[in-house]
Amino acid sequence: MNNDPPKEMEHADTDAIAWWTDRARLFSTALRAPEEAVPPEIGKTNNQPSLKRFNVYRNNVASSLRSAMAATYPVVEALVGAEFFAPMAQAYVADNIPSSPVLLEYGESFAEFLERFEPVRQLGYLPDVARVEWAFNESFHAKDAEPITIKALSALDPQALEYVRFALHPSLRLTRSSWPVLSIWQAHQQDDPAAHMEKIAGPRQGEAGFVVRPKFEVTATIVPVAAVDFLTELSNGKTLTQAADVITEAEQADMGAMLATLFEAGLVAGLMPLDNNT
Amino acid sequence: MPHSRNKSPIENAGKTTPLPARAGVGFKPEHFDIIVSDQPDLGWFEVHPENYMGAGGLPHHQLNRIRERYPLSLHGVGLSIGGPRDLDTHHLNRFKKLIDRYSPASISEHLAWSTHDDGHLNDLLPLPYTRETLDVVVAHIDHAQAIFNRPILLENPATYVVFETSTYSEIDFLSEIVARTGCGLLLDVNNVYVSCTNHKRDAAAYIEAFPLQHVGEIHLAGHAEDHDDAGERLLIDSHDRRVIEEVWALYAKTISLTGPKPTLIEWDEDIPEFPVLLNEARRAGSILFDHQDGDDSRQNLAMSEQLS
Amino acid sequence: MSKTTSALLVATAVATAAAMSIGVTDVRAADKEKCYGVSVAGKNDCKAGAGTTCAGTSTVDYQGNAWTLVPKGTCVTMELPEDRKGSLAELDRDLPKA
Repeated sequence: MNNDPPKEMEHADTDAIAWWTDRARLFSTALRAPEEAVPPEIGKTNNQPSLKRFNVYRNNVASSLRSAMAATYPVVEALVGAEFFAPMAQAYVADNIPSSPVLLEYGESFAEFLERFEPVRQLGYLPDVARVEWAFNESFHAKDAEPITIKALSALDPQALEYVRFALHPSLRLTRSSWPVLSIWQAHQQDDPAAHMEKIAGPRQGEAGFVVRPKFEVTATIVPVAAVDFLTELSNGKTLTQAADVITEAEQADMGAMLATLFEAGLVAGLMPLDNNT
Repeated sequence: MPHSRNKSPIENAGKTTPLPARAGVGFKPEHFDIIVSDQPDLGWFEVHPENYMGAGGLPHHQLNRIRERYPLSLHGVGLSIGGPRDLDTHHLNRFKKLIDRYSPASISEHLAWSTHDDGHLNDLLPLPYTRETLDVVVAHIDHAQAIFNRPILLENPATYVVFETSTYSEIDFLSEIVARTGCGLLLDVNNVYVSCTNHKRDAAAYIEAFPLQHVGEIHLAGHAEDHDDAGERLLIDSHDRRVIEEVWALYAKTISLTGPKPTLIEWDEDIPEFPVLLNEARRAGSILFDHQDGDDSRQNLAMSEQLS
Repeated sequence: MSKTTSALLVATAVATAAAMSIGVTDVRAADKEKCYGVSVAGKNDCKAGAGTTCAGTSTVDYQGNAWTLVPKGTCVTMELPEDRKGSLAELDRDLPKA
C-alpha cells in the first residue's frame, strides 16, 4: 500500500471465529423471534433472565427498520394512516431483514409484499404507489448528470438526426399503472393531500409517466402512454427514428410536443449521434 | 517512523488534519439551510457514511457544501466490526470512496455488531468480551485500517445486557484492541453513563480507568429512562433530548483529565431547531475552554469570544 | 410495428419541439441554483429505539394489528371501487371535512 506499512495484519483463528459465530447466531436468532427466550449467556437480574433488557435490542431492530420504511414510503403511510402503517411495515420488516447496512437501499420489495398483504387488498393502487415511491428513492440518490436542452438535438444535421440515440438521465424512472398513482403521489406533495385526493378522477383511471431528478429535486410527470413507450425504446438503446416506430401515426403527429415535454423535464443527459452499431 | 506505528497512530496519522479540539454537531439535512446562511462558529460536523452511499443528488451536494467550510468526521454504523463474519468488502470499499471524496478529519466505528447470517439487523448489538471475540475484532479493525490506509477510532457501546461468558472488562478489552491494532478510541461519555447505570457500575471510576491517552473524540447525547423486569433503572441511548446534568459533570471530569478533545453533540430523534443544538455545543465549548491548555488555547479562545 | 417512421417526420418533430421550447430552457437554468429540492433525512443512525415496551417486541401482535385495524389515512378521501364503498362512507364521518 505504501513504503511504510502498518504492522502485519492479524487474522482470527478459525476456532475463535467458530466460537463467536455460534453464540452470535443464538443471539440474533432470539432477537428475531419475539416468542423465544433470552439467550442463555445473557446476565441475569435477581437470577431472572432479563427479558426487558434483551427486548431493548429487539425493539431497536424493529423500530429502526420500521422508521426507515416510513421514511421511504411516506405516501403509502399517509394513505393508510400511521396507525395502520406501523403494523404493516412491521410485518414486512419481520420477513425482510436488510441485505445491506445502507438503509437507503432497504425496502425495494415492499410493493410485492403489499400485493400479497390481505388487509390492504381493497386498496388496489397501493402496490403501484409504493413502486412510485421506490422510483423516487432511486431517483433521489441516482448519479448526477447535467440535462441537455432541445437545442442540442435541433442543432444536428438531418442525417445525424435520423440515427441519433439518447443518453437518458441516470435518475429517470418510467412508470405505468392501471391506477392514477402519479396523481396520488403528486397530491401528497401538497399541503392538503386529502383535498387533492378528492379531485382525482377515479381509482380505475390508469396513468403513465416518469420521475426524474435533473438537479436536486425529484419531480413526477404524467404523460401519454405513448411517451413512456417511446422512452422505453430510447432507454433500450434504440435510435430516435426507431423509437418513433412504436407509437401510432396520430401520436407521431404530436411528437414535437412530446419531445418538448421530455426535454423540459430534463430527462435527456446526452446525445450519441454517431454510433458504430447503426 | 516504521517502528512506532503500534504505539501512537493517532499522532502519526500523517497528511490528514485532525479534528479541532472544539465542539461539533451531527449534521442533519433539515438544518442545511440555516448552516449555509448563518455559518455558525462550530468546530466540525459529523455524519454517518451510510447515509451518503448513494451515487449522487442532494445528500452529496449538501455534504460538499458543509465540507467546504468545516472539518468532517465520518462515523460509521454499518461495518459490524464486532460480528463473527468477515467485514463486507463492498461496504468497506464504499466507505473508502467517501474517505477519498471528502477527506474527513476523523473516521470512527462502534464496538458492536449487526449481522445475522446474510442480513443486517440494523442495531449496535453487544458482544461478550473474550479472547475469541478480541481476536475477531482485532482482525476486523486491521482489515478496515488496511483498506482505509489510516487508523480509525473505536467507540465504547451503550449496553443493556452483559454476557456471563465475558472474561475481560470493557476497558481491558478496548485497551487490548488499541495495543494490537493501533486504532484510537472514541469515548462516548453518555454511553459510559448509560452502561454503568444499567450494570450498576461507577461511571466516574470507568472514566478514570479508561485509556484516555488514546481518545481522539468524545460523544455526548441525551438518553431515555426505563426500568427492567426487576424494577432496576434501565437507561436507553435514545439521542432524542438534551444531555443531562450528570453526563455534563462526567464530561467535565473527563476533559479535566484529557485536556480539550473534539466533542460531538449527537441528536438523532425529535431533532430540535438548530439553535437548540448549537446551545448544547456551546456548553461543551465552554467546558473545553475551562480546561484549555497548551496548543489548543487559541482555538478555544475563538470559541469563548463567540460565547461572550 | 410494421411501419417505418420517415426521417422527415422526425426532423419536423424536433423542429417543432425546439420552437415550442424557446424561452423555457432559460427559466430552468436560472432556477437551478436556488432549487435545492426536498431534503430527505438520512435513514442510518446510531440511536436506540424508544424503550423496552414499544412495538416490535411482539411481531405476532403486530401482524394481528394490521388485520384488525382499518386503513384510515388519505385513502378514505378517494372513491374506492365496487363493494368497499359502503364501509368507507362510514369512516368518512370521522374525518374533518376539507
